[in-house]
Amino acid sequence: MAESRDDEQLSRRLTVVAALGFVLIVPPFLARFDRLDQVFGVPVLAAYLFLVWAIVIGLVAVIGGRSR
Amino acid sequence: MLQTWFIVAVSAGYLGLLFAVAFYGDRRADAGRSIINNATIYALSFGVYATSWTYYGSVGWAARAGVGFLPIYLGPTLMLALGWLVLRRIIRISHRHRVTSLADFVSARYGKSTALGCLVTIIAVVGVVPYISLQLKAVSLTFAIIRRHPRVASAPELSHIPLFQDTGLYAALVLAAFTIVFGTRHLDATERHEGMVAAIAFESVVKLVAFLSAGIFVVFWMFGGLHDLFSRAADAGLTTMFTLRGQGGYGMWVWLTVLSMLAIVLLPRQWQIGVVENVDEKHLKRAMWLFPLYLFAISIFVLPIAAGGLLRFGKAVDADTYVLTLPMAGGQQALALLVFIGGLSAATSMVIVETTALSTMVSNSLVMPLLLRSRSRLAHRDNLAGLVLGIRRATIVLILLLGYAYFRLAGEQTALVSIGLVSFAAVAQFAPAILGGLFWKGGTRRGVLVGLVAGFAVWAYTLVLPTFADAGLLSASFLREGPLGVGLLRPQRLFGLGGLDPISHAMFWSALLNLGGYVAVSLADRPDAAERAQAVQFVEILEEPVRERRWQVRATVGELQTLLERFLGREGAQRALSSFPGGRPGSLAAEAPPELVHHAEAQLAGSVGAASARLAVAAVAGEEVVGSDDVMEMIGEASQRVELVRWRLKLLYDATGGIGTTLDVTRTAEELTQVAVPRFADYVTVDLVESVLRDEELVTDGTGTGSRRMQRAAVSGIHDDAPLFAVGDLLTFAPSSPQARAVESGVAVLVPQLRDSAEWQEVDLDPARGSRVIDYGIHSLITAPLSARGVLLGMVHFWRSEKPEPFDQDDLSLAAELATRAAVSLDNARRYTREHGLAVALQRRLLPRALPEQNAVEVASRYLPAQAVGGDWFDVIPLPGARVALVMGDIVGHGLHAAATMGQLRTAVHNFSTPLDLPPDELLSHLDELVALIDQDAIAAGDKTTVTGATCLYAVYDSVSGDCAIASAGHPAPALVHPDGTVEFLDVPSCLPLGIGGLPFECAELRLPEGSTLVLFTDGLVERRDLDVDTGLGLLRETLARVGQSPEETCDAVLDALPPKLRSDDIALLVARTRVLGPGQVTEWDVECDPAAVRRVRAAVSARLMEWGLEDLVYTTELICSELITNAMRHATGPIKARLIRDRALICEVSDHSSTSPHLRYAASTDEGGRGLFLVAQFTERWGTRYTKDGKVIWAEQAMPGTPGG
Repeated sequence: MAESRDDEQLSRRLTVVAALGFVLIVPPFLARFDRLDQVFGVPVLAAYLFLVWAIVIGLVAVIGGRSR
Repeated sequence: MLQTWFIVAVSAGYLGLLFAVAFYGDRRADAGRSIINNATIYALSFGVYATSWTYYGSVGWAARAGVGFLPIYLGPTLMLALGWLVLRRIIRISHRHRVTSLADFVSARYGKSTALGCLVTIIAVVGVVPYISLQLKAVSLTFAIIRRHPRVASAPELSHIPLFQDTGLYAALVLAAFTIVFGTRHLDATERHEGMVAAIAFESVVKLVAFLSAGIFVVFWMFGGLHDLFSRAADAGLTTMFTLRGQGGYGMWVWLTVLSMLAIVLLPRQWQIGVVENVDEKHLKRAMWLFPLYLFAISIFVLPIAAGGLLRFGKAVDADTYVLTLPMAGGQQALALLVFIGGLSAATSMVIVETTALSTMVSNSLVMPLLLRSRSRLAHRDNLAGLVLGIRRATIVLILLLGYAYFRLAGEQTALVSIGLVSFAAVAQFAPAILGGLFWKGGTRRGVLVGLVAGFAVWAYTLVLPTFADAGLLSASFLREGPLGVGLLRPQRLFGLGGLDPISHAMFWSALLNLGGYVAVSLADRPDAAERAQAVQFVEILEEPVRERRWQVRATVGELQTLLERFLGREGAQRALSSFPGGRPGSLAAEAPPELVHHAEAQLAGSVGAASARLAVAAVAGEEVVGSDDVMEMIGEASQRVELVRWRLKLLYDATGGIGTTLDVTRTAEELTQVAVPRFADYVTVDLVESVLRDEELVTDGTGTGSRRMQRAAVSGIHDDAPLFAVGDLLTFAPSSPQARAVESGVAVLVPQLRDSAEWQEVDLDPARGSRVIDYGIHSLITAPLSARGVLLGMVHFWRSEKPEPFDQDDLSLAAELATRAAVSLDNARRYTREHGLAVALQRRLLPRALPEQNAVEVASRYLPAQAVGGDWFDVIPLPGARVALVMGDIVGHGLHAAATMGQLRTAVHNFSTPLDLPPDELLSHLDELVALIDQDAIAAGDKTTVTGATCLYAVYDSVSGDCAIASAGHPAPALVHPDGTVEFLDVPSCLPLGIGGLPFECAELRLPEGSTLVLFTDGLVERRDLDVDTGLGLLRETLARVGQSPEETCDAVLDALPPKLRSDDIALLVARTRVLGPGQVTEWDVECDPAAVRRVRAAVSARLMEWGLEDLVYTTELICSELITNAMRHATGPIKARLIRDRALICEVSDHSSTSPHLRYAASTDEGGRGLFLVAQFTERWGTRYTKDGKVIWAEQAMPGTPGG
């Protein structure tokens, strides 16, 4: 079976998500949150990384789930 | 209460449960009700990524570096987001090509190379053994800790465990047993292990639950929630928990992200689970987010547990064991046991899958190819399936023992994390080969070989050697001062690169050399056909599947079956053969079709790897003479040639349609240049012999000397600014130049590298141009003569500049073929142009150039030739008696033939009209007979074109009486414009065209008042493709009604109103305005049949001439009149009339009612009569007889003084 348009589109969208995720977890974004403070009782950096992580997972789930 | 025996029993019970799950999974698979055919199970089995390293090690890492452990889990998240792009390709390739391991994949991608398979296997084993040892270490360590319950042992206490107390050893042995049972149960083409995958998914759940329980206990029981935990950590000054600053920059962070992105695909166990064990690529969609979510969950309590451990124990306890020791310290025995089991499951799952994957690689890519190649006796056993399984089982045991040995020797001192990272870095070396091979067709086997060896060497030197040094196996000075004191070679500061952590340092150098070597060697390399074929198969996996190249070998069905039995066992072979879609071939002795051989190879490839399968089939199929690689190459090249031939045929086909669309020489030359650019050449130039361009006859001796002058006729190219000669330039090639050689020999000449040859520049004009051509980038030339029917017409030159490859021999023949086709078209165009020119010249010559002078009508004519020469003609012929004949004709057809026939007919009409003075109907009858005669001759001579069908209109106008007689042979009736401006198309009886014969022609007579205008035309005027006859005639009628001017003006107006658009037919137009001679110019007498009347007429004639002032002619005219009247009286009957007409000449006519024709004779001296006509002939310019309805008229013309010809 040949590559369908849907599959191609899905690949492209997910690639964008991956690129976004990568950019968010490396400096300079990373360095921006790399400080001693806490937020909701959790270190800022950890909170930031887990948030980005959750967003990426969520995006992949939504995008992957919408494609048929 | 946690006695050792209890722990052992629970552990054993857990492992037993694992066996049960695996057994259940296998049973379900055998029953065809797979439990792993499920996206969630697939995603969970991905959890094999979370090993002891994750389970224990990440907490240890977090205790040292805070969130620094996270990239190991963020990377896989990113990579799985790319899963649809990357993993799906790998899965599809693996399924389609029956690739069952990472080594097999690399080997298959690069031309089924055995060497690559071996190399990848070795790197994988070497790289992963430390990782396996890490798991054993974790089991051993945690067992030692939990055994001491409830006391929490300090790190130094655990530093040495005696060999036989070491659970690591027993764990290794139990795991070997499990793996052997479920990982090498039988040899199967898909190499799937459903039971094992089920167990792995189950273990993923166990370790997640255990870890989350520990996390929740630590955070919410031992401390008052996250906020409390981190506040206390902040108060205790544990800043490493919070930031990454001060830990050597972010370089390591980025490298770890990249490394883990690669590891999630390239670790042998991940490959096994993600690719080989994948049932359906759609499962990937769920795994893409579910597995990252799993990692998210298992990571979420790492940092809190680390913080809790640090707060609780400080440095007293190994941070790697906090997960276990915190519940112990909290007094939770059951939880501690659960955590221990979780850790056990993390370790066992990893070891099971990793050893399975490695054993497949070792047996398929390392041992079997070697056995098959060496033709060892082992390879000739009947049951190779047993041998393969034996190899695998041995490999599993060996690898586990190796791992254990590594742990005992080097690993005890090292943190879990750094061992794991070393393995990550090792498998990352496969990335260029696999990811590059997935997207880049240009990667070659040698490129991978060089890159892998270099990357692996750097990895070993910069990462592995230092761990040996740390373990005391090497002297520490080796690290500090470098080998033999060479500072540049210090393993952790290679070439003086300092300031990096060991991982970043090693990754930088190995990635540089690996990727650099791969790309550089691949670019410089020329892959063979097999490699190119595989590259296309892999890179274009998502396109429509192409049939893999088939074996062209001879093997019987029986031989294949035996082969399959050797590898797959009797049942496996039966299964493999029955799964052949082409149906089972009947006889064992029959020759197997290529599809079956291919099928057998594919089935084998699933079990023993692509390279081994190829070797095995080659051995059976008698490939000893021709090596299998050569066969692949032959097949590959043959199919490439087919492609090439197809491309050529297309080009030639386009050339056939594209060259010669017109019959114009220059246009044809341009078409030749356009067809070949840019597909075949970047520039094409055409030179033509000068005489071809000037439509001259060519010398046909064929001895073309090289110095023949040519003129550039066409240039075409991808750019307009190439320094080639321009159109119109005159060139002469030196005799030694390839161009001249091509002319001389008549065949195309190839100059593959212009730079290497100078002769081609030898053109008389501007010799410096050659170097400019080279500077411009034009590098290759084919020059071909354009000759047809033995005559050189010109040359064509094909140049290449931007196409990198020079012309080769195949291109030469294609160029020659193009030139031959173009030459035929050029010759056709040249010949056509010449013939057309001749026909036009002939026609012009045959049509009247100037109309004769006469006074009967005022005429004007037009002739418009068509593109092809036509056969329209017209004429104006003065007749005696102040009359005039108007002729208009049309020959069927075009060309020289029509023009020549027109000439014949025109001459005939002249002859019939002037001396014979036939009436129109009679004249047409004669013409009809003549045409029939001409056709008879033509047919007898074998000519295919005939004249029959020619039309003609003949009108005679008498300017004395104003009478007009018209007859038509199938010609359009003329239009008559009355003096008052009304227009009518004359009602001329329409008779058959000439040459058909049969019916006589009819003549219409009418009287035209003075100033009437007769308009004669051919059908080309009123009948065209865009204009039907009635419309055309209507238009003509309107136009004629509007203009009442002179014939010249009428002609112009008509052609303006009916402009010939397409010139498909020629047009002739003749307009005549009638005149009538006035009473002062004509005198008529009735003569009684009485000799006395002669005298009276003579007197009247004399008086009349005196009146007209023609005294000089009185005597001769009297004489002529009396002779003619006397003759009439003597020989004829009926009333006699005499008439004098003063027109351009003085005409004397005598008419009677007899049709006896007088004839001139020489009277003998004794004759009494017979002298009259002789005298008349002597005195007149011309004389003659014409017949009328009533009788005949004898006429005689005398020139008048002062008139031309007088």
